[in-house]
Formats: sequence, C-alpha cells, structure tokens
Amino acid sequence: MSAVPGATGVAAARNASTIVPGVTFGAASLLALPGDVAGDPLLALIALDGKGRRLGLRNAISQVNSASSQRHAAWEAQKRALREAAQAASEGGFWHDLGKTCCTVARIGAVVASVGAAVATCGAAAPIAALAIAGAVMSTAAFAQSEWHVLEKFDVDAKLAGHIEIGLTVGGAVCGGAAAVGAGLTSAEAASGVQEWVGVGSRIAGGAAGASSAVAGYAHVREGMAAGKVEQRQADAIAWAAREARLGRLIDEILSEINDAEKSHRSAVDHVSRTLDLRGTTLSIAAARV
Amino acid sequence: MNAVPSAFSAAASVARANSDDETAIETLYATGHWLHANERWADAATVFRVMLQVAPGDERSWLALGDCHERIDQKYIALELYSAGAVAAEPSVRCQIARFRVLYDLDRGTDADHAFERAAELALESGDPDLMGLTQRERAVRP
Repeated sequence: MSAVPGATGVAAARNASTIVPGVTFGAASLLALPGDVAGDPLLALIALDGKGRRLGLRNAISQVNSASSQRHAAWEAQKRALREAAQAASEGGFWHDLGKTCCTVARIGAVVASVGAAVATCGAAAPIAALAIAGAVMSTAAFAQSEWHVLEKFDVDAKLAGHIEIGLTVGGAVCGGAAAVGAGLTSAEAASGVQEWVGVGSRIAGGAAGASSAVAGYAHVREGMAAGKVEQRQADAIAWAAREARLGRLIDEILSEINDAEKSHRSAVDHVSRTLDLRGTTLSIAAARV
Repeated sequence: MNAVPSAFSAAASVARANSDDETAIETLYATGHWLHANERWADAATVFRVMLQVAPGDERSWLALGDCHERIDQKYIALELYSAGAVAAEPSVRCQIARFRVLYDLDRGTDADHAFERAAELALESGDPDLMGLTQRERAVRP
C-alpha cells in the first residue's frame, strides 16, 4: 500500500481511492470513500466542539454523572429488597447462594438501565447504541491486548474457535450462555441470537425489566424448588450466575469506557487546540467557520 | 496530522449533542479513512470507535473498525464486529459480505455460504444494481 507523500486531510483521503483500503484477494473494497468535508478534518472537529460548548456540553456530561448516581441508588435499593426476600425464604445453603445471584442480577439490571438511559442521549435507539458501545469496548481491549486474551474475558477459548461469532460474544452470554457458544450455532442462528439480545437490552433499558427479570428469575427458581426439583434449579442458578457474571464484567467495562471518554474530552480539546496553534492555525479561524 | 486520538472523543460528545449533525459524522469518517489509508490502524480504529458510538446505525463505522482489526490479524474480533453491524445497521449487504469473507478465510464454509446467501437476499430486496453486482463479484473471487 502506498500513500501520496505530503498529502494531508481530504486530499489524502481522495488520493486514498487509489490505495483502496480493505482490499483482499483482489475483491472490491467495502469501505466507501469519504464525502466532502469543509477544510481540514481537524479544523472541522474544533469547529464542531465550539458549537458543542454553546449547546451545553457540560449539561450532557452532568446528565451522564447523574445517571451514574441514580444507578448506584437503584442498585442499593434493589439489593436490599432481594436480600430481604432471600433471607425470608431460607437461611444459608442454596438460598444464600440464590440471594447473592439475585442481588447480582439486580445490580446488573440497574446498571444496564442506566447505560440505556445514558446512551439514549446519543439520539439512537438504546439497544443499538448499547451494541455499539459494547463493540467499541471490545475493539479498545483488542488493540491493547491479544485477540484471544480479549475473547477469554467473555469466556470464549481457543477450543470454540470454530463456533465464535455471536455478534459480540456478549450476545451469546445473554441469550444462552456458554451452551450457545459451544453448540456451534450457524450464522443464521447467531444473527437471531443477537437480535434477541437487542430485544433483551431494549426491555432492560426500558427501566422496568431490570428488576422484573431479577424477580422473575427468583420466582422461577423458587417455583422449581417447590416442585421438588432442587438439584436441577440449583444447577440452573449456578449457570445463570456465571452468565450474569459475564454480563456484569462487560457492563463494568462499558461504564468505564463512557466515564473515561467524558472525563478526557476537555483536556483532549485543549491539546488539539495547542496542536493547531503549532501548525500556525488559530481557533478564531475555526470559529469563523461555524 | 498530530491530533491526539482522545480528541475524537470530544467530537463524539459534540456529535451526541447534535445527533443529526451529518457534518460531524462525515468529519469523523473522513479523518478515520485518512488514518486508515496511511496504515495507522490503531489511530483509525480510535476514530471509527467514536463514529460507532455517534452513529451506530451507519454500516461504515462497523466495516471500517472491523477492517482495522483484520489489518492486525484479529479476524475473530473483526467477525464479531461485522456480525454486530449486520444487526445494528440492518439491512447491510456490506456487513454480510464482510462476514462472508472472514468466514471463508477461516474455512467455515457452511457459515460463509449462509452469510453470502443473506447478502444476496438483501441485495435483491434492495433492488440496488450496485449491491447486486457486488455480491455477484464476491462469488467470482471466493467460489
């Protein structure tokens, strides 16, 4: 691959049409050429940031922080309620483990709901936006670590290499756990699995299902015990806990990514401003473009 | 271009405040495309990740980000992204074709065939001659 020496910005992008990124085995590139951008992309970014400040970017950041605070309060409330329910049913043993499971589920439900609320400000459907964030988190981790080390975080190991592809392994974790990944789903099944995950995410992001799914799960296991299927339900609960633990790890990473992005943007813009100054371009020029 | 990659997170924040701002999205894509063309895969991926969060329904962000991972031999990560993009940006013929290519290269013939069939179906449903021609040419390269 060769680049046009000295070319920058849009000119380089246009010249990149001869480079044709994404070409493999002589097949056509799937990456479209970029459209016309006013001037240097870097200046365009600064101009957009200027608009953002006038539109109350700080308010957007405070909304994200507010969602995080609400998440914590909601989690504490759900944790108390579910622990009381578990303790009332029994003490120690299986029910103690179940109580911990339900508390974990409640925490994850509250966290996912907050993520859904936070990403709703993106102006996109919350489940799709959450899917994008999960993809971004996976991509970030993959550039920092080996591919398999990243996938192992989602309980995918080399033995399952032939069965990977659930449209983000987290989709498999939510839809059917390790069993789905190990079953060697066809691509059609994998795609429908992702769509199911998107549907689940939508319900959780709606705010009600986070708690209801936990309660429903709790009731399901309790019902199973009443029917005398203690051992089977215990196995279900343990498997469910493992699945939810995977989801919990992903949610934690998603939130960390959002928080880091929001905290760093201010210093990042300042740095870019200094970069522009070094290039002999001033912010006043960029502001005049807005 | 000496921009700090995290500066693009600032653009994401701005673009969120202007979720319909086409200029923000095109700016991000043009920047990422330039970095990609200059083989700066990590920097390009940073930009495309921002674009992904700003415009999750735009297939270009999924395709471009997946391609960055293919460039560093992370085919499984790329496959996950293409699959997610096929759902998030549906109907996306190109995401299905990208899945087909990776599955074909991973010797998963059955899954690759399913992906190609899905791409062909979507292309036919779209009625777009360019997309239909794209799928036909794919089979010529990967029979």
